[in-house]
Amino acid sequence: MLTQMLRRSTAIHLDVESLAEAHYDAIWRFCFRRVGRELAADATQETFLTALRRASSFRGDSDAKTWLFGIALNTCRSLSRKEKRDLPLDEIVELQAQSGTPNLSAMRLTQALKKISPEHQEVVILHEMDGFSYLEIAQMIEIPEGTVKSRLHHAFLALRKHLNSEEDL
Amino acid sequence: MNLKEDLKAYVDGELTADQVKEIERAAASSEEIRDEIAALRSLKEEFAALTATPEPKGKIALIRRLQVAKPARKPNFMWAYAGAAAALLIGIAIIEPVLSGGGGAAEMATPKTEAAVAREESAKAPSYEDSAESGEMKSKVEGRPSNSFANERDLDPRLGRSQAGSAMPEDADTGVIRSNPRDRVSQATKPAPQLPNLPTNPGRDIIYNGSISLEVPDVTKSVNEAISLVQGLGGYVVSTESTLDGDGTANAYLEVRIPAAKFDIANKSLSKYGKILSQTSSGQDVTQQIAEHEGRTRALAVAEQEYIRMLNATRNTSARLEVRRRLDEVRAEREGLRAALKRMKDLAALSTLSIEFTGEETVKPDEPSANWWDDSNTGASNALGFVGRILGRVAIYLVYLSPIWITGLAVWWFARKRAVK
Repeated sequence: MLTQMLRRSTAIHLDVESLAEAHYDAIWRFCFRRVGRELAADATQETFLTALRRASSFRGDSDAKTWLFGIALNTCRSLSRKEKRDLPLDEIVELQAQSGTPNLSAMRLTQALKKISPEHQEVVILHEMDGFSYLEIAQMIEIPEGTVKSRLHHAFLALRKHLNSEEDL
Repeated sequence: MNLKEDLKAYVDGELTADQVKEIERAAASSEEIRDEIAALRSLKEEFAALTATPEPKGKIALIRRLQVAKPARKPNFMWAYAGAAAALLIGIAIIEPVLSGGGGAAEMATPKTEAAVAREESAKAPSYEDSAESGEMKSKVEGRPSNSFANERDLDPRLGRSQAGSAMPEDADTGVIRSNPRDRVSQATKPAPQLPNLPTNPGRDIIYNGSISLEVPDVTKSVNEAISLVQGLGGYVVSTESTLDGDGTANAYLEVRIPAAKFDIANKSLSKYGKILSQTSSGQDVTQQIAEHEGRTRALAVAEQEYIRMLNATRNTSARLEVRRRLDEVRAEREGLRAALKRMKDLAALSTLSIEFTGEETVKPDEPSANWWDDSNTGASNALGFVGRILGRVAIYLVYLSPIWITGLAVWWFARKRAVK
């Protein structure tokens, strides 16, 4: 109770409208990689509405952008569970093909990505595709930075293992 | 440092300068490590190629929605609620004993040190009557044996009292109505109106009694002047008594007898000594009683003469004894009447006046106590006890009222949680 009151008293005022102006596109792409094109706009909208409701509890422990992507990540997880959807990796490969810069190994890579654990998938996408640093990932999914490093190491080992076994076939 | 685990971090640029140097040293000497780094970089580049995303949509619609949905920044009432609740509890803890008649709050609000209590007790102590101990202002002067006035009560000097005194405490011994002069000082912001002179009644025997209470600048000087005045008027002082209040104010009480004809002169002169706080005068007309006593005395004198004549004329022994007995009775009754008559005439000739002098109230600066260390310790201890009692009360109220405030808190918490969701 007292802790909550103290937290509220140290809350930083956030202008969510400005955040939306600055980060809408990045959040939309972030959501697209997790829930697909069809639900990306809904997930993005829900992300900013949630941010609007929680703005008063933002304490400034992390960057506002990291805090916002953390909300987007949780929103996408929730939406994926609700809609019972996996990562839209096929959509990504298809889009890559349509963009006119075909990557022959894209399909192979996404197939390997499907085979690793969800925890490893999450850190790989956050780091390799969304471009977040280890520290930002740690703050976003609330795990130690060392765990992020370890998970990425093991995720890449697993990916290489799957890719190599596919080559052998 | 796990070298192999750090290779991925090295490729990602997440290592410190020292760790980078260590990796590079290891890579320089190991082909396996160099191959590992190359493989990791290759895989990373493949991911980097997966950047294509469609053009985001819905930005304008979201911005509009946010503008509409933007909640007005609500003031945080939580501290205000908590403060109000705490103030309420403390208020109840303080006021409740007063409402229940315990008087505890008043007691707690002005904690007294033991030394202060002791000083107050000593100030309340009765006045000294032993001149050897008390000095000038604490002496008691006996002008006449007190039993000289025993018949004042028989004559009921209070009959015909003109004013005041009915609500004042009555001195059980003297029958004189007295009050605490300090009380009257505090009540009287203006001097009491001076009484007009009692009407003179030539040819009648009247016992006058009066009292006057005055606030004077110097009590000792006023007492001395009053004694001189009374003696100058042919009267005398029956008794004096002095007291010292806790605030250092001196009080003196005098009972004097003054020739009846000069009763008004004495009253008038005394009223000039200071501010009159109260004044009473009363008279009892004993003319009829004196006349009756005189008539009875005369009749007894005639009877006495008759019994003497009979005694001389009788020769029978038993008859002489009977006459003698009757003669003794008559003489005893006559002497008693004569003494009563004399006392009554004395009282009528000399009026009784009670004079009270009260020193003017002076505000003295607080003198530092000689025992300041003990006073400070006791004061601090009392203050700590006071705070402890308040906190204890608050804690007890919190416990007893817990069903209410815990429910309220739970409702608030659930409402807030729901709002956040």
